Amino acid sequence: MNNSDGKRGWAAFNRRLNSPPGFRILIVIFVVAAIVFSGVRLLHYFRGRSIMDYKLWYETGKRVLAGQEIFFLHFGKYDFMYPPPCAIFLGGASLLGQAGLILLFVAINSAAWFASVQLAVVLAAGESRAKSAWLYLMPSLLVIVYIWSSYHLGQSSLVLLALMLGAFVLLRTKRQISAGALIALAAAIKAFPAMVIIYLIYRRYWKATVSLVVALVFLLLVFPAPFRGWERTWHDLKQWSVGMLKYTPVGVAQRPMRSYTWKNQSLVGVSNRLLRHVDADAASSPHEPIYVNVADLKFATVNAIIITVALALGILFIAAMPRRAMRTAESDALEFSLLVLMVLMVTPLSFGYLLRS
Amino acid sequence: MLTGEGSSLLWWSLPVLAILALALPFPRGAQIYGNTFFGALLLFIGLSIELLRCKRAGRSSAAKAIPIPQTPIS
Repeated sequence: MNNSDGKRGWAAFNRRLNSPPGFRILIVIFVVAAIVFSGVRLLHYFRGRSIMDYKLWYETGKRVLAGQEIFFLHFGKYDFMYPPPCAIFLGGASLLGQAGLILLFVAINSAAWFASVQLAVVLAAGESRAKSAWLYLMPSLLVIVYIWSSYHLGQSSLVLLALMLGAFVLLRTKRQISAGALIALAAAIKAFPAMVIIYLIYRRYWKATVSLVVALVFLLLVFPAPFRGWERTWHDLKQWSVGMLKYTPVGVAQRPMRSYTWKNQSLVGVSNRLLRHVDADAASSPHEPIYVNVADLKFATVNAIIITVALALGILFIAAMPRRAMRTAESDALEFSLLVLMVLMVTPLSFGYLLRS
Repeated sequence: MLTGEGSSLLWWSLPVLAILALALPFPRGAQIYGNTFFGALLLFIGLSIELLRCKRAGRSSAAKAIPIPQTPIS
């Protein structure tokens, strides 16, 4: 086959993929993949194999329903370390039983995956009507292993991604109040999306900023109150914040064993691992420590380096941002991508499954 | 890139993908040295440069659109 034959074949394939039947095939592939990923997870449960984090979600939900403590030390750390509203959501989900909870979560994951694809295309292609099928296909294809791990582990990363992309689309369409509320909902599930507030303030999205703060206060203090009572709600919030706002030479928040290991791909994790004499192995059982540090700096020095790098990234981001009047659909797509990358790198705990965003 | 608005991002994306793909043959070895972090960092730099290019292009087209004020003939 010569070069021109190859080009003709590729052009024909591209034409077929971008035709209405081509799009229908893509939808079928998506549905099949979502069913397989969900089915495998459910099959694991019915065969009595490990159900990873789904077990923790179910047990936390049951604790909420029984009015028990959510944040407590177990082998020196909290098992559940997400914000209190997330525990309340889990309380509702656990009413379905363990299989029902898994089914609900894989269904939510699939919906979030579908929404993320659609929203990413809207952001990338702007108002353009001619949207290439590759735009729908390639992003999922490149991170398919991470998408699978989201189903496998029972992680909420796809849901967070869908919420953040939804917020960006709403910001573009000048619906700031809804955008702020979506970011608050993401932050109520896993705290780190709250960092986006710095961007909202810098870009003077005042309505979105207020909406984010009000919705977050509501989700943290008001929403759990009917289920936990005011006193318990305040206690939960205090326990959670005391447990999470920890950063020591030994570890970050409630994951002392994993904070500086190969599983943490954040700026904090990588810097500590490469610049300090810390064990890089994630095994919690007795094991031979692994050291990969290229220098042996003090904790304070490493922190100074982390702050400098984070500031440098922030300055680069600000320098690259166009003025408000100069913004276009293309520049916004790039800006939002940079924002997501920045949040993922700067957050103290960034385990592999989060980086699919 | 997929929208056909410039291929420079491709040149940033390829090394990023290569860095991320290191985790396929060496899952622990690659991640222990922060392949995902450095991949994200490289992508961040590439996208920032692309955004800067957009900003400059916007500025120059805006400058072209502004009519040059005419000096009144005395």
